Amino acid sequence: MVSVAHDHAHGHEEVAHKEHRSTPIDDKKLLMWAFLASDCMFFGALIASYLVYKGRSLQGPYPTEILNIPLTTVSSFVLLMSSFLMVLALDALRHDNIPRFRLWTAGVCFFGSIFLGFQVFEFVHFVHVGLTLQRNLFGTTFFTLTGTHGLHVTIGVLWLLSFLIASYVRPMTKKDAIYLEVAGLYWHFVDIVWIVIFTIVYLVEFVG
Amino acid sequence: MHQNGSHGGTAFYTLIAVVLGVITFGEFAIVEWQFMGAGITYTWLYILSIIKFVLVVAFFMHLWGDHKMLTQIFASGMAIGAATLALMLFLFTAANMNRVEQTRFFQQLSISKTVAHEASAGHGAEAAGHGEVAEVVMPERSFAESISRPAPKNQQPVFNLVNDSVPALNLPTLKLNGVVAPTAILASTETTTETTEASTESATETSTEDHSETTTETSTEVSAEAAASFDWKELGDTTYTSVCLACHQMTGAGIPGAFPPLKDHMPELYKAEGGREYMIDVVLYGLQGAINVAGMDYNGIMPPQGHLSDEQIAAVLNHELTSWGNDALIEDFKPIMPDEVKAQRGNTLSPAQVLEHRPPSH
Repeated sequence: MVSVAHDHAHGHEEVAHKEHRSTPIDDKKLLMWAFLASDCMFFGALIASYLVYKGRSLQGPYPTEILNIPLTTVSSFVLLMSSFLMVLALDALRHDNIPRFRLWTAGVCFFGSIFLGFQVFEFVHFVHVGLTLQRNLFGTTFFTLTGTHGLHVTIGVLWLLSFLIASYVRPMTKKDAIYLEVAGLYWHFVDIVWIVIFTIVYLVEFVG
Repeated sequence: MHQNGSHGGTAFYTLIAVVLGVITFGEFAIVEWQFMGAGITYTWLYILSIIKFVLVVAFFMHLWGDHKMLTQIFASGMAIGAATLALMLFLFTAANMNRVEQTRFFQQLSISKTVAHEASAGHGAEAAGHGEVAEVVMPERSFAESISRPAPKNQQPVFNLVNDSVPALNLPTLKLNGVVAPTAILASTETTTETTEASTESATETSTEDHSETTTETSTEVSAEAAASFDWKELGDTTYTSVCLACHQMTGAGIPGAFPPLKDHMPELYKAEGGREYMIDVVLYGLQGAINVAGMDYNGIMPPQGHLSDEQIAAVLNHELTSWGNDALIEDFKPIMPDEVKAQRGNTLSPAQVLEHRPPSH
């Protein structure tokens, strides 16, 4: 991921080069969508690994014994709402409303951290009841999948935090909105991956 | 930059957020209270998550109304990801389908085995005239009778083919001493070859005892009379094939270091004090911890098989006690009866507790 400061350094040259593009899409945005497409394949493979080994653990703890649906519903809700705040933050920056932009961005980071807190709590609890990466196939595939997602969330929080800090270091205007938009795309993607994980790993397990 | 127009400002986004929140708690309600049938619940869960997915992508990520190319890029990534998922599920299902085919194959063998038993009891000419039976009996001989008689060379390929394919397909689901199995596939193929060699060797050794075969026949006949009411032979065979074979192998030799052998070991347990109960407990409640069988250390876990019926457990134990030459090692075999299994069901032990009841090894 390109650092914000680096992006800003090239921000002004960007405008001059605009007419040479072969598409009307901003380069950074195009790159982010291409990255997200590749991340789809990445998570597709991880989810597939989880599914093909589902129900094949030879020893417990088994998913239905330890997955906590009420807790995860709340953390899923928190992550969805952080996505909502992300939209508001971008909207505020586009309208040059810096105080609002700071408020909503801080909100996204806060909600993202709450989600991570839930995940840390969940992982610690699982390890306490004996589920580790090595314990069984469920442990291996579950921690790999949700852990990779958690890593994405962590990167997202840090990235958005850097916008918040940058806004105090130097003046930020609506010209910078494209950078926030790209970070926002990443954040929303992390959210949709969780929508899929929440259904496939958590909810479906308890049906029937 | 503003080609991705706002979809009506804050009010619109708030509406989307409310819908997303309501759906999330709706999903929780559906799962928590299960007021619909399982099939409908699954369908709704998938539909709702797709709705959430589309809402976020289309409106929060502004893909709706943004440049078409972005949708195409993202859709291709999604398509490849989904294809990977579908392909992997298909491949693993195909592996399982193969196993069902194997199971059918082995069940066919067990039917021919009964015919072979009848044939050896005096209807030899009749069975020999039955071309189809004689054909299927061939590989079966190399499994069960190789213990008392070395199989002719030309039958070995059949033996290898079947035996190699079993661990290769089943091992990815297993865990060997803390190592998750995919890494062990290659190794397992090697061990299988060793197993094959080992069983051939042992077959040659036992073949020196010429009278062992006659003992076998008389002992099974006696037990068959004693347990006339409980016909365990076919049930034991099919249960073994579908439940135990993946680890303990067709030859009963297990996989050295990973899954202990039943061949030669079961008679030891049978003869030990409390051995009958112990064997039933192992099947009912599993076994976990360090054991030593035939000079080889094992420290794995056998999953509990308590979901099997009393009849199935008794039958499969009898099958194991009388297969691979085990019957020759037991004098006056009294089959384990379903009632004995029933009596052990009240104990409710953990796999580790079962180990405490293990008779001391010899």
